[in-house]
Amino acid sequence: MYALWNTLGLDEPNMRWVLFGTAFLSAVSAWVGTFTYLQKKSLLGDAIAHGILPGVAGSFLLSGQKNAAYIMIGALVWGFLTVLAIEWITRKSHLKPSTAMAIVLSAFFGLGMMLLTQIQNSGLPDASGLQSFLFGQAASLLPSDILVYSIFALVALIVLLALYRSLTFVSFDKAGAQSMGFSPQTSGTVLSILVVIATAIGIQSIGLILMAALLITPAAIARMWSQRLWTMLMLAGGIAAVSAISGSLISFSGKSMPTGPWIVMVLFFIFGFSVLFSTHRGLVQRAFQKRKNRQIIQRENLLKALYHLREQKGEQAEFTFEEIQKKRMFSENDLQRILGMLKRKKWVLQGKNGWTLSGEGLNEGRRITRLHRLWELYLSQKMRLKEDHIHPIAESMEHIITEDLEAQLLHELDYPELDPHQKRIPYDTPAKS
Amino acid sequence: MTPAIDIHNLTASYERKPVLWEIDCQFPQGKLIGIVGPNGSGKTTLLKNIMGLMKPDSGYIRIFGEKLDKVRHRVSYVPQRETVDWDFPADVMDVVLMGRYNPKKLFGRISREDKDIAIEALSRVNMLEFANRHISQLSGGQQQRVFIARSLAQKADLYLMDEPFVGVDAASEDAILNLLTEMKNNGKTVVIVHHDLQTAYEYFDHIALLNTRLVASGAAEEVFTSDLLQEAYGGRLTVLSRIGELIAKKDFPIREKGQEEN
Amino acid sequence: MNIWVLIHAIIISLSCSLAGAFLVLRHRAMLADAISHAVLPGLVIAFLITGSRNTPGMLAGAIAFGFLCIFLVEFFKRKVKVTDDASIGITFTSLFAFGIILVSKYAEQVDLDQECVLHGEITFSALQRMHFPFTQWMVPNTFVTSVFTLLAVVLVLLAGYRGLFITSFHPEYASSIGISIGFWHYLSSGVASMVTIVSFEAVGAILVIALMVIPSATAWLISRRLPEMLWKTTMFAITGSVAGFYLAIWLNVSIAGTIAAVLGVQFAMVLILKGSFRHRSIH
Repeated sequence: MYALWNTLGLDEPNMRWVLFGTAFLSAVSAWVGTFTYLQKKSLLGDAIAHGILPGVAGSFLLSGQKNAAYIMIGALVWGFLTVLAIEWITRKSHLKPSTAMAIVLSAFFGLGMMLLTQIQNSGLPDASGLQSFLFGQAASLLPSDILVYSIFALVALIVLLALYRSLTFVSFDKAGAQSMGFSPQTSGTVLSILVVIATAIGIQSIGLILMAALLITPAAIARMWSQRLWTMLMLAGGIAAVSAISGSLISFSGKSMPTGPWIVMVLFFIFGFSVLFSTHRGLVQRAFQKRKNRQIIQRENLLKALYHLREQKGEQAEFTFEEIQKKRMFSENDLQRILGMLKRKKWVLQGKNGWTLSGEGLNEGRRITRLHRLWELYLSQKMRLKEDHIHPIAESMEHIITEDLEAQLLHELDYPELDPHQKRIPYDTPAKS
Repeated sequence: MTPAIDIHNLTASYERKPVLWEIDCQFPQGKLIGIVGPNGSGKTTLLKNIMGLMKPDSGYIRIFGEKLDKVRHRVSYVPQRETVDWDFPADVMDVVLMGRYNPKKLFGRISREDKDIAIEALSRVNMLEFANRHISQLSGGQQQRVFIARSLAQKADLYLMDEPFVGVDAASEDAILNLLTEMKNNGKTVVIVHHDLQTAYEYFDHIALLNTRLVASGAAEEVFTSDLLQEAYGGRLTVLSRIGELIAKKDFPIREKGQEEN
Repeated sequence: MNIWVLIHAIIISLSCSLAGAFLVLRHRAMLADAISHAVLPGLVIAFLITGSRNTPGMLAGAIAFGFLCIFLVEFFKRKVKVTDDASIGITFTSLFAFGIILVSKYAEQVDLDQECVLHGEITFSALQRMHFPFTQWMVPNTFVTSVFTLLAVVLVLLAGYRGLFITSFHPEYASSIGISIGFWHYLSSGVASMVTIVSFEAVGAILVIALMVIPSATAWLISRRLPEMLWKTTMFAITGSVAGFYLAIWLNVSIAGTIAAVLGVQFAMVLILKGSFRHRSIH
């Protein structure tokens, strides 16, 4: 363990600085990104990240050295210019923001590339280090760099906390926010400024080309696990920090590996995991839900069939396989399986001559029959549907209606006794007269 | 006579939440028909289902007694104005000529005859002088008239229009209304989604009152009773909207397997 | 500097800008951004397998990743309800990151480096020459592919003009008369991916975006009809690449970067001029 610790260079205080520093910076970016995600402005981060290249290269060219403070200033200036240019285009023309972003992003980045080649031609001593701003090189971070970036990150964090309420409001309810006196205009500008800072602080560790991932992906992941903003922020921050640390560690272990791509790969891994397994919208969970629904439907259909048979043939009767199948089409296999399942649940009993409902099964069968007939009545009374049209949809709704919906139905229909086909609606206790 | 549109037990959802419940009605041929109801009552959804732009959860629709694909050339659809970007580089004539496109003719040439038809359609909506104007330089009413001209150029028998009177100036409204009456007199069927109760009664011969379910469908004077209007505009049925939310949340099928009708 | 490099740049700029026009008209400009990043892993993988660049294999690999990108964007949007732009952002950053890792991991085998991914190698590719079919001209290696790509783009544009027009302008109406929106959507994105891939090596990821989006957006500002917009698009693409090319040589800086910047300046100038002549403007 200690050997691993050593090989990763974690015994050096410098490395620890780097790791915790990038974790903190990434978390701040993800927090800002959560708000842009909710306001559906995710790609603004990408545009700004590309747009700041002239600032980074320019400050290097002017100062002749790779100094975090100068670079930060250059980045911020060009970040704001990017925002302004996008706004200018959308205000002056009919082009949509996404088009404006693509225009500014590529033109500014082109300008940045001109400056970069200029730097390479100039033969400045630090020139090769500039590569790290494109794809990120966390290992190249000095404690003093981290300090500079962290100061800006802190400023962003303070602004975020100070305006937490209005940003939240605008994110979730634009119209409401306006009526409460929060101007979407102002908070939009504030958010753009925050995105500029959030993008600029990450350029050395993750690189400006992939910076957008840190703003977008943690927020999208968090959204898949939670609906509440506070939880989302905690999750997004945590995910960003973890990805930053593990991405940096992986990149340290290989030679000349940039950090940014690895951080993005870790993020994507977590994203893919969430797509499959999230409790909220995960594919696996939804497949399970579908299977469960199918089982409930089959089970309830069988109970209902048995209940109907009992209505027709008397309480003592036991029913054979064939009788059940005649009442309702089940495939041989399905019927076997469902009967077995219900038997284990003790909802049906197997007698000498066939199957019959247990006390509990009877209640359940009665409940489903009741829901079916109630819904038919509801359709014909409240929705004016003709009697020959109501059966199919009642067939599926009977499985969905919950207890309190049933109560509401009963109340609205005033505890009826007969369904539209003049069949009795069965109650557990005698119906209210 | 076969009805122009025959809707059977149609249930349709938007993002898995049912917005139309078990709609079952018929629209006669040769009439001005209004689909009327409050906002969010599923009017546009119904039109999109008729046009095959959405797949229903259950039920089916016949047009002139046939499936849509067989009679598509006899049906014309006028979507809401907001469905296009009016800054698109096209002039009025470009848009009206689209009425002459069809999947088979996508690669052929636009003929002299097509152009004449487009010109005639434009003059019927009093827009001929604007033929070469860019579409962003039209008023709301003029944009709507361009859409209707495109629809006329299709030479269909059944026209479905989504809120053609919204954001339209008085002159355009009159022009459109006169045109609709003229179309009816020529034996065409026009179905119009309309949200304004004030005017619905005087505009339409046949009205379908909708509020996520069909409240009534029939001759205007039969449908425009205070009871029925109260029912359509008196709010949503809470049981219906609650069960709709449950269906969406739990991914429940609206029709059980093996139960689908054609 | 070699005239072929300039001609090559012009040809690439024509196919990119024409293919991009329909993305811009559909308000899907950022999809150009996404595709141009997403094809990188396809290029690298195909290169690792076939062992050479500029082969059909490389083209196939990149096209596969272009479509994978479009598919994933739709998938995350529909099935997992990620917002539209976030879905684009997640997909292309991940694919691009994967590509960069491959590039740095196999730097020795793959004749690509991080630098080339951004700047392209239009000048470098000019060093390797071949005969242009049926002629005596010695042209850069990748030149032939670029020419055929341009031909393909023009062909699709001419044959599919009406389908592209109607589905871009009014998808709902188009499908109401029985035209498949899906087909035309995938055709236009497919052409865009193909063009991206062919141009990527020569001009790099960023200039591809600039070429796809900026000339047509500039043309849109001052066009009344689609044909007019398309020919103005080609004009802006040509003037931008010629001016950018000579400026880059004069300043001795990145050609791709300079062309992108010049395209941006062109756009800004048109937008400003259009504003100051408002009474004569078209929109």
